[in-house]
Amino acid sequence: MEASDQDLVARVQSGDHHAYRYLVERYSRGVFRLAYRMTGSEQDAEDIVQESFLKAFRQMHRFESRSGFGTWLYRITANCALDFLRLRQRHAEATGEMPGLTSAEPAPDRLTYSSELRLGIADALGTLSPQERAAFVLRHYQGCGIQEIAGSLNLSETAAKNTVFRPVQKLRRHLEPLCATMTRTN
Amino acid sequence: MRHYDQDELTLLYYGEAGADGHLGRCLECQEQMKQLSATLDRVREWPVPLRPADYPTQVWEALAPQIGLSRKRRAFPWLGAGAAIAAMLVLAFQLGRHTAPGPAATRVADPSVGERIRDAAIGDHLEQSRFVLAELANANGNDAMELSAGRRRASELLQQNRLYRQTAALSGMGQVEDTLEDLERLLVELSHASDTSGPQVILHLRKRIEQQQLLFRVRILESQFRHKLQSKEDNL
Ligand SMILES: [Zn+2]
Repeated sequence: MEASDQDLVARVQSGDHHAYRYLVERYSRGVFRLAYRMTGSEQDAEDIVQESFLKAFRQMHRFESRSGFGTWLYRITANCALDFLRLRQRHAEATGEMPGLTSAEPAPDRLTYSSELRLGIADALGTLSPQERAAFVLRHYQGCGIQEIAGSLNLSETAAKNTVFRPVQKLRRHLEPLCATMTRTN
Repeated sequence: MRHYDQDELTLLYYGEAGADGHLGRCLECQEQMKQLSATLDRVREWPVPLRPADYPTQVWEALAPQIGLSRKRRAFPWLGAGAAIAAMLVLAFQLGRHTAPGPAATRVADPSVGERIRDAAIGDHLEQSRFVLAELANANGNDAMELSAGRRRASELLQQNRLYRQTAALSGMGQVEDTLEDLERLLVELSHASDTSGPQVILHLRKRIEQQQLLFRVRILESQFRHKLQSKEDNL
């Protein structure tokens, strides 16, 4: 039988660092997905995966099992990614380069998925501020509630709501004309 | 009769608000909701690049040495023989190129091989340094163990760093040289920190990393080297 997250966390907390391996292996794909959706870049996502697991390990003594380990870990990942996006934005502003929030990297093609729309989504996500992107990814892909997002990103509930609303508005403005064109040409 | 606005529909879409019956009665709001749902549903399909089957093991193997467990596999496969050998090759290659007389072909059979070794060595060094910086940036400042492990690694990295900084200078890689120079100062300070200097030192170093955006710069350079190597390998 597989050990539960709770058992593994307890083992790590009591000094059995090898037990952390099972948690890392269990969550590595999920953490990557979250990091990729936040950054739009495979390489940056990989770095954030490492940073998140390292940070979680270092903070393990502070973890209490009120929330699940996964929830806690994803919150750490979201914040690592958010820090990264902010830094990237500041760096871009300082050097006058493109903010680089969009995903230029090709993702694997899906038969049912138009590459045009895929780029459209990446573009639209690229127009979001780091915080908006974090909030939207947490709400839309991770299924976090507004309250949870407020807690993760240190926002009031109203601010968290607005930080989800704005991306939805921007995505619709970007994508709906594109979808309309595609429907007409198909 | 008041219709739902876009934000209210968004809350409904995410199940953050209960419908009050209006939606069931109002065709206009139903149409709005249909459009919003269609767009957001499509966004949900945005694909994430696939990871290899052994991805979880890879993640662990890269992480393990950072938390004091078994050695990692190298992210830069060129360095199978170890960083020290690579470092010697790098220097030999660079010095040969800049000091030895005669046509280049007699010194290095294929200059691109030398460049690849050099780039792999620097890339690997940047990766190792990034681990130390990330650890420092995440340190909570009251753990003497963290400081002593970081200090040991810093003095190991310091030797390499000097070599690569010189190499970068000789190769006209200004950006690399700048970053390695800032990195070197930090490594010197970290390697000289004593166990008794405690949390202030960590705080001070962390502040420096932030001010100089050092972690970020190292990360950017590292990914540039990685891309460069990747495209060279693709062209082989
Ligand atoms: Zn209505």
